[in-house]
Amino acid sequence: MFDWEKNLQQITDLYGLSGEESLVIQWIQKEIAPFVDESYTNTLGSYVAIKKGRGLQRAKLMISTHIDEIGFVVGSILEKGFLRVEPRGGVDPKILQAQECFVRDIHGELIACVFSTVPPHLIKPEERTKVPSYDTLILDTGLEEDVLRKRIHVGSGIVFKSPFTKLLSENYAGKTLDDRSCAVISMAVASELKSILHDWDVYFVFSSQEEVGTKGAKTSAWEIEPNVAIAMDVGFGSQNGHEGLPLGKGPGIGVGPNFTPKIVTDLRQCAENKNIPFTIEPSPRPGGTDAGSIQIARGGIPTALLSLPLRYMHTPVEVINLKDCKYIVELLTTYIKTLNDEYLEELQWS
Amino acid sequence: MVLKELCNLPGISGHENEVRSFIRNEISEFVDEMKVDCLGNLMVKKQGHNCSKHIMYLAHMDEVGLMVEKIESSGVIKFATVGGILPSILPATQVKILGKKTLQGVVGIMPIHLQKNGVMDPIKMDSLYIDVGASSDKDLQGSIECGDPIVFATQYEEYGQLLKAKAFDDRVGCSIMIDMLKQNITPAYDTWFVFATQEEVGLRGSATATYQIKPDFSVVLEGTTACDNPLVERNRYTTQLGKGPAISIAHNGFVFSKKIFDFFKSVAEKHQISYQIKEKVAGGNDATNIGKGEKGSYVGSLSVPVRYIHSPVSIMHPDDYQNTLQLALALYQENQSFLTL
Repeated sequence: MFDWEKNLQQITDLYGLSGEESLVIQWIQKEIAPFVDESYTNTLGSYVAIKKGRGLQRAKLMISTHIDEIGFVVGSILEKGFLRVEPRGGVDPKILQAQECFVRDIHGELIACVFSTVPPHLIKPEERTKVPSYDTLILDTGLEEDVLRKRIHVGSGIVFKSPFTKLLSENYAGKTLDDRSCAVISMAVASELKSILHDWDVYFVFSSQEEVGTKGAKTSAWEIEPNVAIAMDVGFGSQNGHEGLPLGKGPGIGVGPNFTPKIVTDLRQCAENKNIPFTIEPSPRPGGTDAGSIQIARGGIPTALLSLPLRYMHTPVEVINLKDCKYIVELLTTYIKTLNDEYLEELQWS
Repeated sequence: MVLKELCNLPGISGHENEVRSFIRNEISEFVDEMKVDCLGNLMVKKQGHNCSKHIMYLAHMDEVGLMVEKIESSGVIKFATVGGILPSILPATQVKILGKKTLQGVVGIMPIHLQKNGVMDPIKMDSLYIDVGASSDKDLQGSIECGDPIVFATQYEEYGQLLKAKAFDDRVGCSIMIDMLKQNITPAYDTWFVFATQEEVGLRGSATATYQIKPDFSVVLEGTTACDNPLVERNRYTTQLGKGPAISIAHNGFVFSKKIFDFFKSVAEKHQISYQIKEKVAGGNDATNIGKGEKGSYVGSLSVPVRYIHSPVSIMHPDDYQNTLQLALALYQENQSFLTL
C-alpha cells in the first residue's frame, strides 16, 4: 500500500532550494528504486528514473515534476546574527513577517530563523501602510555573529520552515507541496507500473530549477528526447476570492498552444472512460511550468500538462487534496496502458 | 523552568483555563492559600512572618490570538483579533481553532501570481480568513462555532542560544513566578502571587485582583518589546536581548515612583544582577492598573525583553530569564527594607 501521508510529509520536509536539490534526489532514489529499472542524475541536477516497457520501438514517455522549492539566499551577515536575504523564485514579501525559515550551513545542518517584525507597540503609522521589501525584512538566527560567520556564507540557501499538517476532508497544508506532491504522484505511478503491462519506456524526471525558469526540464527533455512528455505541476486551486481548479475534483488538464491537442484529447478520453473527474484549464499562452520548455526542446516534443489543484501557491501553507493525487495516478496509468507502437504514428499531424 | 510547557498551552484572553490548571498543579504544594476569582485570576498566598502589609507579584496568563467571528457558507472562517495584532504578521501562518474539536488551519492569502494590481497593497485584516480544509459550513457543524478561540500553532524551540515560542508575553512572567514559589521561601510579609487574566484586552484581571488584595507593594513580571535589530533605529530598541531584566520608568499614562525605580536598581546592584532600563515608553501593562487602583500603591515593572511579541514567533534570551528570576527573588527577600523606609 502506497503511504501517501508519510511520503508527502517526508518529501516536503527536505531542503531543496532551486539549484540545490540533491537531498530530495537521495530520498526519491531510495523510495523509487524498487519500482524502476535504472536511474541517473544529469548535469543540471535533475533525477531521471526509468521504468522499461515491453515495446520493440523503445518509445519514451517523459513525466516531469519539479523537486526544487522557492526560498532565499543569504545576501549579507549582519550584527547579532541577523541576515539580509534575497529571494530565489517568486516569493511575496507581504507574507514574510514573523515567518520561520531554515538557513542551511556548510555542514548541511539547518539553522532555524525568523523574519523580524516591529511589534504594534513600536510601529510607525507609515510602516503600517507600507508593503515590506527586502530592504526592511531580515532574518533573526539567534546565533552570535562570529559563530554564524563560521557556519554560513553569502549565498547560503534558505527555505521556509512549516510543518506538514493534516486539515479536514483529505486536505493537507505545508511548504513546497508545489511541486513535491506531484513528485510523490510520479512515485505512486511508478509503483503501479510494477504490476501493469505497458509498451513504452516511462522516464520519470524529477526536475531541478523549475522555480527559476524550468531549466532542469529543459535539459532533461533535450537529453531524453521523449516521444511524448507530460508535465505535472500544481495549478491555482479555487480559494476565497479566486475561482480556479476545485480541490478534490480531479486534476486540471491544460488546453492551449503549449499542449499537443491529440494528447489532451486522449487524456480527457482516459478520464471519461474511467469516470475520473477533471477540469479543463485554459492556458492562452505557455505558462511557467516544465511543459513550457519541454515543448520546444530539440525539434519539439508533443507535450501536455496535468495540474494538481493547490491553494496559497508559493507560501509556507500551500494546500492540496489527496483525492486529486490519487485521481492523477489513475489517469496516468490508464493513459500509459494505451501507449503502443501505433500511437507513435497517430502523433503525426494530419 | 516550565516555560516550554506554558508557552505551548493555548490561552487567549478570557480562555486561560488550560494555563491556569497547569499552573495550579505546579504550585499547589508550595502555597498556603489558593483561590480563583470571578475573572479567572489564579491568586495564591505565601504566609509571611508579618501580616501587616500585603505584597503582590503579578504576571498575566493570557496571550494575544484570534476568535472565530463568522463561518462562511464556503467553510472559510472569518476571525477577530484578541489583543493587539498587526494584519501583516498573519498571512500564511498555521493556527489551531479550539472548539468542541481542535482543528488545524492556515491563514489564506491570494498567491502572488494572482494579485494583479494588489501586489503593492498592504495586508488588510478584513481580507484575511482561515482555511481548515472544510468544503462548506456543514463540514464544521458540531466541531467549531462563533466565539471559539484560535491560537498560533507555534511550538517552543531553542533558536541558537535563544529561545523561541508563541506567548512569551507573558508566560515568561508566569514561569518566573512558579520558579519563585518552588523555592518555598517564607517572606517577611504576606505575599500574593497573581496569575492574571485578560491583560491583552485592557488589563482587566489585574483590576479585580488589586481590589481584592489591596497590595502595599507590587511587582509585575512581564515580557516586553525588544526591537534591537540592525535595521531599526537605535531609539526604537526599547530593550535589548541579553542585557538583563528591564526596569520601567513610565508607561503610557503612568509614571512609576522614583522610589521604586531606585529600590529596584539598588537591589540589582547589591546582588550584581545585570539589568537595563526600558528606554522607551511604548504601551503599558498591569502595573498601571495596580498603581492607580484603590487609593494607589507602590508598584514596579520588571520585564524580560522579547523580540517580535504579539506575533506567532517570539524570541528571548535564557540569561534574561535567569537574571529576571534572580532580581525578582532578591526583591522578594528584601522588600521589607523598602516597606519600612
